[in-house]
This record gives sequence, C-alpha cells and structure tokens, in this order.
Amino acid sequence: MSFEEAVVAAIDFHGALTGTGSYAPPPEARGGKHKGAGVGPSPAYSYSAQVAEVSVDEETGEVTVHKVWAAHDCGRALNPVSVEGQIIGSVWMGMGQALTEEMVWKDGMLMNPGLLEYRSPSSVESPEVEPIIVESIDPEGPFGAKECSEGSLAATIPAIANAIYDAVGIRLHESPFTPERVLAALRAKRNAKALNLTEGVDPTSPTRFREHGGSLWFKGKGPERHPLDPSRHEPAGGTD
Amino acid sequence: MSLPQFKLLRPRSVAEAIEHLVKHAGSVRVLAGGTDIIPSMRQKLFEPECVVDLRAISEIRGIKPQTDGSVEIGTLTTIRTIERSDFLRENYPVLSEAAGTVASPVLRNMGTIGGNICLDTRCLWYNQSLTWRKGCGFCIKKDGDLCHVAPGGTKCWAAFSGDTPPALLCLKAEIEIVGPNGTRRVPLADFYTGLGDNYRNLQANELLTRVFLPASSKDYRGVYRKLRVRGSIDYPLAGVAVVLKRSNGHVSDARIGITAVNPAPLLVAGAAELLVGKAVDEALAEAAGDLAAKISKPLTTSALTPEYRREMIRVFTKRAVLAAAQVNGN
Repeated sequence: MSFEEAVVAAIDFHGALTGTGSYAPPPEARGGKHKGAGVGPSPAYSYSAQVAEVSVDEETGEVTVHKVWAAHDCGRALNPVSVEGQIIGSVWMGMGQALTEEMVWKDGMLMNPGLLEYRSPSSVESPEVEPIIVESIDPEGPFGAKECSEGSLAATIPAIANAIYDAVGIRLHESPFTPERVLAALRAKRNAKALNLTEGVDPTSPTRFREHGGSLWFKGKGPERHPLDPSRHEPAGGTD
Repeated sequence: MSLPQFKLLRPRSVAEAIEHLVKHAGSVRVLAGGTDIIPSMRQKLFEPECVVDLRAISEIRGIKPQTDGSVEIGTLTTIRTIERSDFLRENYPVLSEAAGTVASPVLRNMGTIGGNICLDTRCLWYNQSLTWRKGCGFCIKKDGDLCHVAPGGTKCWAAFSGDTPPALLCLKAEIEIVGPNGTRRVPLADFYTGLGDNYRNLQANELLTRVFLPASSKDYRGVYRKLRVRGSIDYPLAGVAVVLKRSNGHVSDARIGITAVNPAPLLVAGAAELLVGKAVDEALAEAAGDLAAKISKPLTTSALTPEYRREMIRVFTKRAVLAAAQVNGN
C-alpha cells in the first residue's frame, strides 16, 4: 500500500485524523494565589538577546534605528527560514512599541483609532535585521522546539532604550520614545531653557500612567503610578 | 465604513463641470485624485448627492511652460508628475522637493496639485468616523458648535496639512478660479482665510483650474523640510519651505513658508527684512527660526505635543535656511 492509498483509506474509515493532548505546568510553577499568578507558566522559556544601532538627532529628538542584531533561543528551529522571518517581524513590531506606537485616550475616546494615526513603522523605517538562531533542544517541546517571536519582541525595546542611553546619555522610563520625550530629556540634561514639550510630564521619571486615560497630548492626565513603581523615584539620567 | 450613496458625474470640460456644480448647488463635491475626499466620505464628513469627477477633463492636466518664462500647471496634474518633472526640478526645485514628501508614492500617483492646495484642514476630532464623532459631541467644523481643541472657543483651529502650498507661497504662485460668472486669478496667499472650518475662498460653484508660477521666481532656490513620525504616508506635523535669492554672496531676497501648524499655510512676514544683505550663518538662521516659530500656533489638532511642533518649526526653519544657502552656493 502506498502512502497516498493509506491516507485515502484512513480518511475513508475514520474521517480526518486528529489527536488530542494537554499540558499543565507543574504545581510549583503555577505561582501563588494572587490575581495574575497563573500568567506565564510555560513548558519552556525562550531567551533572547539583541543589539541595536541607533542615531539620535539632538535638535529634534528623532531616533533612527539603523541595524538590529537579534539572537533568539527557539529550541530546535523546525523551519529555520520561518524562524528568521519571525525574528525579523518581532524586531519590527518591537521597534513600533519602542518608538511610535501609542494608544492615546482622552475622556474615554481613543484618539487614534486608525492606522494613519496609530503609527506602526513603515518600510522606510525598517532597519536591517540580522537574525541569529540559537538552537537548544528542549525536552518538553515538540521535537525539541520552543517558541519564536514573543521572546525576541521583548528584547527590542530595552535594546533601543539602551542604545539611546549609549548615544546621548538619557534614560527614558516611558515608551514609546517619541521625539518630544527624547528632546525634553535631552534639553533637561544640558540645562537648556525649559520648554513644556511633554505637557508637564518628566519622561525620565513619569508619575502617571498614560495607559489609563492620559497622554502627552493631553497634559499627561491619568491615574498616578503606584508609589512603589521604581520609575517614580529613579533620578533623572539613570543610575548606570 | 462604507461610502454613502451619491450620483457620479464625469464632465469632459471645465464648462460642463461648472454647469454640474451650478445645477446641483448645495449638495455637490468635487473629486480630482480622490485621496482626501474618499476617506472623508467614508467617515461621513461629506454626504453629497452628487460627486463631480474631474479626471476626464484633459485641458487642466499637465505642466505647460509659457513663452514669457513662467509656467502654468493644470490642477489635475498629479503630485508624482510634479515631483518628477525635469522642468520644475530645474527651475522651481523647492516645489519638486515639497511634492516628493507628500504621503507615499501610491498616493502621489493619485493625488493632484489642485487637491493638495484645496486639502481639507485636519483635526483629531474631525477626521474620525461618524460613530466616533457622535461619542464626544459634534464640533464646529462638522455639524456642531463645540470645539474640543480650544474648549469654549468659537473659532475652528483644524490645521492645514498640505505640503506643496508653503513652497507655492514662497514662489509667489497665483491660481485661476473658474465660476459661472467668469474667471478670476488670485494670489495663492489670498486663497486661504486662516479659519479652520471655512478655510478657503472658493464658492461651491467654483473650480480651481490652474496654478501659475512667475518667471521671476526662477532665481529663488530653496528647500522644504517636513516633520513627520514616519518617513512615508504621514501628513506633515510641521513643514517649512525656504527660498533665497542671492547676489555677490549675500541674500538679496528671502521667503519662508510654514504649514501644518496653523489653519492656513503662511508666509513668514519679515523674513526678507531679516535676511537681506547678509551672509547666512548659524546665528542668522536661528533668528529666522525664532521669527517663524513666533507666528506658528499649533494646538492639539495632530499628533505630538503643540509645544514640540512649534519648537520643530524653529529647528526646521534654521536647518532649511542653512540648507537653502548651501543650495545657492554659499
């Protein structure tokens, strides 16, 4: 019997071939009893490291990403080309989170509900990305695979933040690192004449959540950050 | 968001188009490239009974150099044609440069210079869907009497966001407007009212047909600088065009035009007085930047904070003045 005949026979007798399985993380990995404790347990964790090369325009605060080297531990790369595509895509998405993408709320209205105003990077902004696949055979994953793209997405934002710090010496504690935030921090650093570029918000130590109804566009209104949030207390300019 | 119902009219001449505009007066809109009006109609900002599609009128398409050295540009000429025209690039480079920054290549292939001049003023509270606008109360510009940008105000502050008008203003462009009572020719500067809602001096039965650039503006060389978040697609958040005329290493005339920070594109008054007779250096360019920033009044009509956009007018003007001096062989 050929393989094709076997497939036909199997579908004739049984319908589509399916399998069912489930996975539950071991009890000690399920977190405590507090709300949200169950978020995150996973059979395997991927690891990611990235290097970003950026330039910062010191007069306008605009940040340009030139190149990103992205290494990602994805377990076994079942389809290496697909893995590279996932890494490149996640760098691009992370770049949007780091530099431009921001949901702006005002009195319960989403001010940028379209893709014209909610600005994902376009092809013009896309940097060269050098994906580096780091294979590790994970005993829990299918054929030793883990995941690819969520882990590498997370590394892009700190990589760009650190590159900005390396370039001009400012630590921003609020993303996205839009030009007005970068410029405000730059001007504060060189003691230039104060301009209210960020509507009273200190981008190096923000005290309010933008996510909850505030935005730089609208005087940063929104609930206050939790008193223990480290970004409230860290001195401007960073500690490192 | 779907398009509302309308009747599409496709005249073949300007006269026929005017006839349609007169006949359906009150509920008619003009479509040239369609890149601005179609999204606006989907958002139900306009719900006309008739749409007059001008694209079949060949008499107002194309760049026609005149014998006296000036040039006549039909308003149906696409932005792409203007960007790539060798004649304009050689004689009016600031216009080619400004045209090259409009939106993205796809939109430049569709959009026209007439449409860019007539571009509707834009605001965060205006360019939204009907459902969205219902959610916070209609504003002065469309259906209501509120202003969300300047609460309590009665003036509309929607920002004019075209890229080519500041360059055209710098080149002292004139436009030809055809209506049922004949043809008039006005300086482009008089076309804009400075109001956000009723932003242009154009009757509903009139049509913008031609743009004229005078031969005398050929001596003016300059650059256009535009602030935007992304390198393509975005409207300007601040835009500056600077042209200089030089003789013997000194500036003999200068014009600065700004856009996207006021309800109209503006020429900066006093730019010539400031720059004429001097050699351009960093300090002089900075003074020009201060002058431009003084007349810009950005409000929360667009992305980024108003104070930042005003600061960028200052920085971009400074850079544009220095770059314009470079272009002129400083």
